[in-house]
Amino acid sequence: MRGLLAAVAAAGWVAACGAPPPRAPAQPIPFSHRLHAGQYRMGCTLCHAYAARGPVAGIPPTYRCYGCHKFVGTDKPAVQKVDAAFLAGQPLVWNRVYRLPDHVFFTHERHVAAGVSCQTCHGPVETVDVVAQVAPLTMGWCIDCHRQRNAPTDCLTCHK
Amino acid sequence: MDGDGTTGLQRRTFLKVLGACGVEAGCSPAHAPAKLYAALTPEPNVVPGTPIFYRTVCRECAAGCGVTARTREGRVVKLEGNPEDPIGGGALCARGQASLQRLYAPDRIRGPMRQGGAGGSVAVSWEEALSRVGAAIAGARGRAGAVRLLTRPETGLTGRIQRQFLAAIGMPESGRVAFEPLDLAPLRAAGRKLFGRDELPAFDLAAARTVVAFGAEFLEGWLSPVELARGFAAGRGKVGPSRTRLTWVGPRLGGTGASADAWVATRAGGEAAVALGVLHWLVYRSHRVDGLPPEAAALRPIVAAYDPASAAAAAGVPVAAIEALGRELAERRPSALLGPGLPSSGPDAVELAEAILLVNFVLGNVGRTVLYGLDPRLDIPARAEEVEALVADMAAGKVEVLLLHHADPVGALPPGFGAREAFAKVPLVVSFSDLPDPSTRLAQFVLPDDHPLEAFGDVSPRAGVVQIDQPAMRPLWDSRAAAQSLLDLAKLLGLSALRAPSYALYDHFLAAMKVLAADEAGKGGDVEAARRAAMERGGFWKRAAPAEVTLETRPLAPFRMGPPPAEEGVPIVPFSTPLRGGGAVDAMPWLREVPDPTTSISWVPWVELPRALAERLGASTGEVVEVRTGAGAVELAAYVAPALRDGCVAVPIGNELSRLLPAAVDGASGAFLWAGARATLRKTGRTIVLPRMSVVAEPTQEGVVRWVSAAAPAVPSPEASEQMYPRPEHPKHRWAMAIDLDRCTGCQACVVACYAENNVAVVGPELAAQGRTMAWLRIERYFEPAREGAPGPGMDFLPMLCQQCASAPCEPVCPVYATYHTAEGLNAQVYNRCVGTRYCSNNCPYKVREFNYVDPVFPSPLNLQLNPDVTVRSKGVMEKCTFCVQRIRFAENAARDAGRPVGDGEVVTACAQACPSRAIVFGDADDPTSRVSALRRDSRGYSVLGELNTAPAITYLAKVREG
Repeated sequence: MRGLLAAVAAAGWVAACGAPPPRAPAQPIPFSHRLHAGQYRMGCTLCHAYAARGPVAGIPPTYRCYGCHKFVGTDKPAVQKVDAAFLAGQPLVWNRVYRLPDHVFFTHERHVAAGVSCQTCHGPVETVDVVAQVAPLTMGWCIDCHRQRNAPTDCLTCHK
Repeated sequence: MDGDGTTGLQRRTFLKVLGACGVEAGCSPAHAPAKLYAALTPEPNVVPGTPIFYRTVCRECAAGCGVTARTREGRVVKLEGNPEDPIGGGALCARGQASLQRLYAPDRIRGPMRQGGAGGSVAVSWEEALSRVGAAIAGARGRAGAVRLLTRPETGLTGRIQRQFLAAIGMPESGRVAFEPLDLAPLRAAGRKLFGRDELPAFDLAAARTVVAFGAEFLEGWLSPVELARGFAAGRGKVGPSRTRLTWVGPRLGGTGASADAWVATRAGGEAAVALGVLHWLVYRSHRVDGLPPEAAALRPIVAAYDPASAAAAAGVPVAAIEALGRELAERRPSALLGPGLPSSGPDAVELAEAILLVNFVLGNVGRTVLYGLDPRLDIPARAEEVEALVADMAAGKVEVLLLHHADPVGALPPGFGAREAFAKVPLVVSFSDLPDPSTRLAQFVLPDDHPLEAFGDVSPRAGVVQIDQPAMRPLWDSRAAAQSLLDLAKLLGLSALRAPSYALYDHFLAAMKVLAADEAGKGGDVEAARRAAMERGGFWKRAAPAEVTLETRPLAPFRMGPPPAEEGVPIVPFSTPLRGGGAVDAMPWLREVPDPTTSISWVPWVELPRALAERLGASTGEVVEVRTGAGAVELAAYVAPALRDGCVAVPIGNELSRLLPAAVDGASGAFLWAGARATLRKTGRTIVLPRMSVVAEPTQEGVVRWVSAAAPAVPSPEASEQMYPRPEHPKHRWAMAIDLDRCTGCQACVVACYAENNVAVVGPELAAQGRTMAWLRIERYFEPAREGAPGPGMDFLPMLCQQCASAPCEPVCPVYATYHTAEGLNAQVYNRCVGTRYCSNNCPYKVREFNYVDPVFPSPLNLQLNPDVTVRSKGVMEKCTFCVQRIRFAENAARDAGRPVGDGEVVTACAQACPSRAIVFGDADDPTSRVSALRRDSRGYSVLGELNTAPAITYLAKVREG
C-alpha cells in the first residue's frame, strides 16, 4: 500500500514537472493576431465581442471576417478560404487554445470590468502570429492573482 | 519499500500505476481537445453564456398557465411561471416544470413514421407520409363520418384549423370529437340545470373565508391548481379568524385533504349526501341563518329527504360533522364549495355538483367566489357518449380515416370501451402525437407534433385571456406542428378554404394575433405595437367581468336517496396526485422519481388499504395484492394508509386503475365514471421493496412540524446546546429562507424545480428502493394525532433542504475542506474537492446531503436540459442544496453591472420561484428591511431541531391550528 501511494505521488510529481509546453494547436486558417491586433491596432472586443458583457469572450462570426475581407486581402488564399466558407454557409471550426475544466465557472465580464487586461492571461497576443496557451490555468495560478488583487477567493466564486 | 520486493509493490506494478496516472493527468479536461464553431452571422441579442427568456404557455393540462422559458445557447433549460400572467401568477406546478422532459424525452417520435405491416415501424419522409394520408382522406372525402378527428380540447388556432379542415373535406361538425376523459362534466351539467350556464365556473379562493372540497383535489390538479393554490394561500399563514379554513370531504385524505383543518370522512361516494345535508341544514334553519336569498325557502322540498341525520347516515359520518359544517358556512361568508373531483366522480356526481352549487348559491358565493361567465366555452369536451359512438362507428367499419391529436383513448379509457379493438377496424389511423402512447402505437402513420416550446399557437383558458404559445427554440427533431400538418394536407388536397392567408401556420397565427391586437389597441390604436407587446409579455389578458347568475325558476325535482350499495367487495376510490395528473407520465422521469407527497412512493403504482382492512387481509406495506373487479384484475403493491377510511381501497390514476374500471358513463352529465367500481382483494404472497423516500415506515411529528394557535401564537424557543466553535460572521449578506408551513401544500412543485435547476440526477426505481434518490429538497410527510371525528391521523408537510447552518455540523468533520461556511452564510459544497468520505452526511442532523453512489445518467437528449451554470456531479461525490448559488451570482452580477446593491426579491431560488402558494421566501437576513428578515422575526418562526443550536438560515413558520 505504501508503495502504491508512493507511485501515485511520483505520478503527481511527473505531471507537475512535466507540464506541457505552451500549446499552440494548428488552426484551419493561419490567422495572425500580430497583423490584426498589433499592426492594424484592432481592439480585442472588435472580434471577441462578448468579453465585456458575458462569461464567454466569443469567437467572431465569419460575417465579421467577411465584412472586411470581401474588400481586403482577397488575393490571399487564406482569405479566399474564409470568404468561400462564409458564402457557402460553412462554419469555420477553430481549435480551442484556452479551456477550463467543466467545474470552473469563469466569467470574462467580471475580469474585464475589474480592469484586468486581456494580455494578463492570454499573453502578448498582438505580437504573435500563432496563439498559444501561455498561462497554466491552474487553480494556484488563479488564486495567486486573486490574492494580489484582493479579489474573492471563496470557493463558490468559481465552483458551483 | 521493504526492499525484498515481496511485500511491497513490484517494480512493474509501480510503473503501471505511474503510467496510468500520467494518462489521467494528460486527459484532464483542461487538455482535452475541443472545437469552436464560429457562427456565420452574429445572432441578435445573444450573448453566449447568458440566458434568454421567452414567454409562452404550458400545455400539460387545460389550466393554461403562462410560462417563462429560460434558454441557453438555443436550448430551453428551465421553465418557470410568467409573473405577469393572470392564471399562474408566476408559479408553475410539478407537471408544468416537467414539460421540459417531454421536450427532451428520449422516446419522442423524431420524424414521420409508418407503422405496422411487414417492416414494423419505419421512418418515412414528410412527403410520403402526407401524400399517403392525403390520398386516404381524398378517397373518403365527402362521405360524412368517414374521416374523424379525436383531439384534446384546442381552444385556439389549432382547433379552428381542425374544424376548417374537416368542413373543407365535407365532414360534419360531429366529425371532430374533443376528448378529455377527466372533464368536470358533472359541474358543467349542474350549472346548465341550475343557472342555465353550460360552463365551468372559475373560483376566487382569495375571497373565500372557508373552502370546502368535496373530493376536489384543487391543490393537486383539479381545474386550475396553480391559480387555486395561490388564491387559497392568500388566506393562510394568519393566526385568528381571518385565516381561510379548509374542510376536506371524502374517504381518503390526499394531498389537498392534508392541508385541511377538518376532515369529514365519508364512506366512498358519500360526498353528495354531506353536501345535501348541509344544504338541508342551511335552508331549513333559514330563520336562524341570516341573509339567505328568498329562493332558499323554495329549495326545502327538494332536500326534504336529507335532514342532517339521514344525510349523515347515508354518508357514514356523525350528524355533528354536517351540523358543524353548516354552522361554519353560515357564519363565515363568503365561502367556496368545490367539487366533484376524481375521488367523488361516481354515479351521483351530478347530484353532488348540484348540491354544491346550491349551497354556494344560498350562501351568496356565486358571483363572489364562484364566478360564472369566465369560461371561454371555446372547445367544450365531448360527452362520453359521443366518444363511445365514435368507437362504435370505428368498430362497425364506418370510419375510414381516424386522426388523433394528443388523444389517447386506448391508454386513457378502461379497456371495456373497446377502443383497442375498434382501432383494428379503421383502415388508416393517423396520430399527431409526440410520444408513442398506446393509441399512437396502433396508428399506421405518425406525423409528430412539435412540442409547445417549439411551435406557435394559442390557448384560451379564461374568457378574455389568450395565452400565446411561442417557440423558445428550434424543433429538436423532424417534427411539424400538427396544425401545420393539416395545412400541408389541405394544400395537397387543394382545399382553398384554408388557403387564406397562406398554407403556412405562422401566417394564420399572425393573422389571429392581429385580430386580438386590433381589439386591444382599440380604434386608431397601433395594432402592431399591441401585438408585439402581447407577444413579449405572453398573452392578451383582458379582464372579463363575471356574469350575473340567477337560479332557474323552474321547480327542481327532489333529490332522492339512492339504495345503499349492496354489491360485492369494497369500493375503489380513484385519486390523482400532483405528479400524476391525468396519469400519462411515463416519458417524464422527474414525475416518476419525485415521490407522491402523501405516501412518499415513487416509480411504482400502488393500492392503498385502510389499516383495518389490511389487518383483516393480513397484508402489510409492500405486499403485492391482487385487486379484482368485474372488469379485470391487476396486481399492485399494497400501502397501508393511515388516513384512509375503512371500507374502501384507493388506487391512483393510471393504466392500472383504467384496467380495473368498467366501461361506465354517467348519462346525466356525459362524464366517464371513475369512481364507484368495487373490488375484491387477494394476497399473492409476493412482497416488493417499495421505492419510498422515508426509511422510517410512518414518521410521526416529534416536534419537527410545529403548531401555533390564537391562544399560543408563538413557538417556544428550545434550550440550545453549547457550541464548540465561534459563530461565523456575515459581513455582506446572509442568505436566508423562510418557509411557511401553513401555506405549504406538499405539491412537489419546488422539488421538481430543484431537479431542473440543479441538474439533480434521476436514479431509477432500483436505487430509489434503496433510498438513494438524489433530491436536494424533499417534502417530508408527518402524521399528527387524529382530530375529533376523523378516522385517521392528519398529515403535515415540511420541505426539507440544507438548512445552511451558521454552526454546521457537517463542516468541521470534512477532512479535505470540501464543505465550509462562506461569508454570505452559505454552507458551500465544493464538488471538485470532495473525496466522498461521507462524514458530513453522517454528521448532518437534517439528512440533506446526497451521495453519488453511481455516476448519474442523463440519457440523450435529456442531457440537453442540463443547466450549464451548475456542475454535473459524478460518482463518489457528496452533493447538496446551495440555495441556488448560481442564481445568487447571476443577480449579484446584474447588480454590479448596474452599480447598485442586490435588492430584496432579486435573488429567487428555484424552489421559491415555483411555489404556487408562495410559501417560500428567500432573501438577505442581514438586511433588516427584507421580507425574509421580517418573517424570521415572526412569532410563528422556529428552527427544526433548534435545540441543536446549529443556527440554520431557514426559518419555518409554524402551522396554525384553531383554538
